[in-house]
Amino acid sequence: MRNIILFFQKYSVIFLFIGLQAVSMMLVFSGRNPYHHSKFANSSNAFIGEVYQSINAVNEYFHLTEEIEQLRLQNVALKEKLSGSQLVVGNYFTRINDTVYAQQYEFTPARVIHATKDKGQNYLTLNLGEVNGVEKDMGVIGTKGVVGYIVASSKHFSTVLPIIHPQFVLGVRHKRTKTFGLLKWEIEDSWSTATISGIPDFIDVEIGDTIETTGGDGFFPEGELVGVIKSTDEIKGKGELKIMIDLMEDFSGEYNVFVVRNLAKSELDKLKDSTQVNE
Amino acid sequence: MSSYLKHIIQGIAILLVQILIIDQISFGQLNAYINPIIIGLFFMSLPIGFSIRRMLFIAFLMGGILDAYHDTLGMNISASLSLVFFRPFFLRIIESREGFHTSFSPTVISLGLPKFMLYAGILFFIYHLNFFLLESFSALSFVSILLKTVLSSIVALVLSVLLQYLTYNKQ
Repeated sequence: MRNIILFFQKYSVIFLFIGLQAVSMMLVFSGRNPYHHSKFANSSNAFIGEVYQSINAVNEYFHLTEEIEQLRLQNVALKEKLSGSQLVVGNYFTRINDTVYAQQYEFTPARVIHATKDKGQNYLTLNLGEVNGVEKDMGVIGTKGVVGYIVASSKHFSTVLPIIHPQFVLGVRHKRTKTFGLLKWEIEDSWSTATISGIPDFIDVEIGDTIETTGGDGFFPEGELVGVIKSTDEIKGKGELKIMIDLMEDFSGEYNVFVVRNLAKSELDKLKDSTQVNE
Repeated sequence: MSSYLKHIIQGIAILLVQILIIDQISFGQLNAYINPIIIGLFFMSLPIGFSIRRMLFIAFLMGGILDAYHDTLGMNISASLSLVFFRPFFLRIIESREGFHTSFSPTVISLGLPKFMLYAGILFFIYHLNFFLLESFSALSFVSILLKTVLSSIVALVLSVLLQYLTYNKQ
């Protein structure tokens, strides 16, 4: 017994080192699962959010021009969508009865107070939190396209898992043919690209085609832009294409975003849960 | 007691320098490869006689704080622990013939530039290698991990030397 105690005393530093390393590894691998994202130790923590907000308060003056340009372009895009700037082709008298369409999505403008794009795992921090109704699993879109979804939120801040993170997965579709695929951020992707798999090779996919959201996941409205096809590659023996896309959203200048609240999300989740139980 | 207070202030100061200054530096096209983390400098310059057990706990705490800021839970903790654990082995390399006094703090001023570059260079390499391995965790991109480690370590080394010269006072 005495020998055992002596043994442990002699090598106590090594045991302590191994023990603490084991704890840190557990933290690393628990953090790897976005659904078990730690509530406390991330950038949506109140104290950390405050620090990033004050850093941002200084930094924001340096990119005002760029920001205004982004918002101006978004305004133009939105204006083009308005019926007022479109030619009426069909009937002159059209009655729009709004009992058919109820509002499904609400948008809240938010500011990005901290963002990374060059790390192996990137995150964004927003200046809105639970007080503003921002919760986990809400979608986030930027001025041009999809950004990501919220994985953690505190009272006043929230953390976004963007497309440019290895754990990000989203069902998307090819706009012209409406074929579904799976969007992921692979190792070889940079901050401006992503990879889509699962689109069969007999589909007519061309470089320059648009990729959009399906609306079926509950995070984003249908038809939000994701990216433009950059290159396609056939995976031999699998019958599907590996498609590289250029992301619509510019992750190098991420200042103004919109948090998407899906008013029908609980309904959708309930339906998904009930079908999963039956499997 | 005053030396403890000094170490606490140093620890907080280096975290602030990391978050407020170093993280804000942009390297343009090379941003993906250069991601210097200099909190290891704090552990490197603690006195030789400082208890390693205590240092391991401090490494855990400081790594954890930085991890919360960077959303990299556990990675800076692990890297800091490795740095602290391997520090005594590399102190032996730079030791002079008569050895160090236990209150000796290895800094660029007390060691001289060449010796400090060797000592801090190796330890920064260990820190960044540990960090980037955990960050990507795949052997596929080992070349890029190595490239990131080497470039980040060099930048961290240069920044640390500058920082130590800037904060040096003659008393």
